[in-house]
This record gives sequence, C-alpha cells and structure tokens, in this order.
Amino acid sequence: VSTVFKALSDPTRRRVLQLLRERPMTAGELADHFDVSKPTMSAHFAVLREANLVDATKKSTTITYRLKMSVLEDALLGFAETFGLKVGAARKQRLARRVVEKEAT
Amino acid sequence: MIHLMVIGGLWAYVEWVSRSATPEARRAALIRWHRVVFTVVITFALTRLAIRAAFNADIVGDHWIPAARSGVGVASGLLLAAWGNYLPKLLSPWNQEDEPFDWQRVHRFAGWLATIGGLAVAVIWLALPVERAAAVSRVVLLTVFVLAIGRKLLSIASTARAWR
Repeated sequence: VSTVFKALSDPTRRRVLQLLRERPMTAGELADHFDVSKPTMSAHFAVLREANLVDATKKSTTITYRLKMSVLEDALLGFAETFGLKVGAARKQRLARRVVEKEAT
Repeated sequence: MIHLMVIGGLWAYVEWVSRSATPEARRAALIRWHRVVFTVVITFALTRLAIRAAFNADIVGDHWIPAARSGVGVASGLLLAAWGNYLPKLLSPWNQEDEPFDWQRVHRFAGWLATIGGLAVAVIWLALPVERAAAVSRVVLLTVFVLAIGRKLLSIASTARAWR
C-alpha cells in the first residue's frame, strides 16, 4: 500500500495515470506530454510498475503501458487530484531548497 | 445458489474470451481467475452450507434466521464490491489492435458499478428489515448487471462498426 501512496504522491505520475485512463499508450506517447528527460520518465514508470498500477508490455523496441488500477486506487487518485496528496511534500521542498543553496555556494 | 451461478457464468465467460489470446497471456489470466474465483466461491458456499446445517440441526434457534439472512446479504454485497474493485486490474488478453471491444473502458465502468452496487447492497441489508432488503437489493443487483452488460454490448457494437 505504501508503494501506491508513493506512486500517487508525484504530480507527473498522477498525470501519467490520468492519461492512461483514456487508453493504453506507448512510453514515447506518454513522454511527449511532459517536459522532462527520458531517464526521469523511465524512473517514474518504474515506480508506477512497482506499485502495480500499470502494466508494461514490450514489443520489439516499443513499450506499451496499460492501466492496472483497482477501483480503490482509482478513487485514491481522484482524491489526490482534487485535494492534492501532500505525502512527503514538505520533505521534498526542504530537499529542493537545500539543493538550491548548494548550487548557490 | 444464484451467486454461484453468476460467478460460474463469469468464469466460463473468461475461459471463453481468453481462448484466442497468446498462450502466456491466457495462462496468466486463467490462473489469476481460478485463484480468485475458486477461493471466493468455495468460502462463500461453505459458509452458507454451515449456516443452513446449524439451523437444521437446531444448534441455532429459528429466531436467528433473519439475522443470518442479513449477514449473508451483507457478505454477498461486500463480495460483489471486492470483485468489482479488482475487475479493472484484469488485463485484456488481446493485443490492443484486435480487441473485439474496448476492454479497459468496459472493465473500469463495470468495476466502479459493481463496487458501488456491492457496497449499496451491504448497506441495504444492514439498514432494512429482511423482506424489504431482499426486494431492494435484488433491484440494485439487476441494475448493476444490466448496465454492465449493456455497456459491454455497446462497446462490442461500436468496435464491430469500426472494423467494417
């Protein structure tokens, strides 16, 4: 369950799940919707796969992702969308601030 | 008995839909279903048999019959909700291109419907007296199944039209 919460705590991953609600998509199609690097995207996919929220099927070089969410997990995603799931948000902000400070020095 | 027939029918249906899939996908789908469906059906059937046996043997007094019926009603509602909750996790055994209907959309719809309907049935059996609960929950169950099957037939029809 904690892997599910972790997966749902990130806005990019939530957006991926929202896109997959429409239909199954390839990794490339999904990545086109985001302004982040490929390795970052694959890391997000890995987290979603680990939480068993998506299924990945590889066909030659393209990977197709399919939604694999139970109704409960789906409702949780909807809940996170409307109210914003703040799991670990404060910690993440602190970390980000530290990185900025490091870069400044 | 009706529950057994419904779940048995669902199982036969999954056997039937997975017949054209690739061997691995078919095997995975069937193993999943066998595990879930058999565990649930056998547990439920045994519990009901045990309850009936307890009444027949006069271990439990007849004044407990309404309570037992309510209990079985609540349990079957929760079972339906659990099944509905799991339904969208079942993956299509087909490749996306040759699916005979929009599997994901139908299963998501049916999953939500069965979850909400199942919870409603459980609440109805908790809140209403036995005779009323039996009547109302029958209406809810019928609505759930008619809507779910209707949604699926609609999807089959539109997919067939797209192929032509």
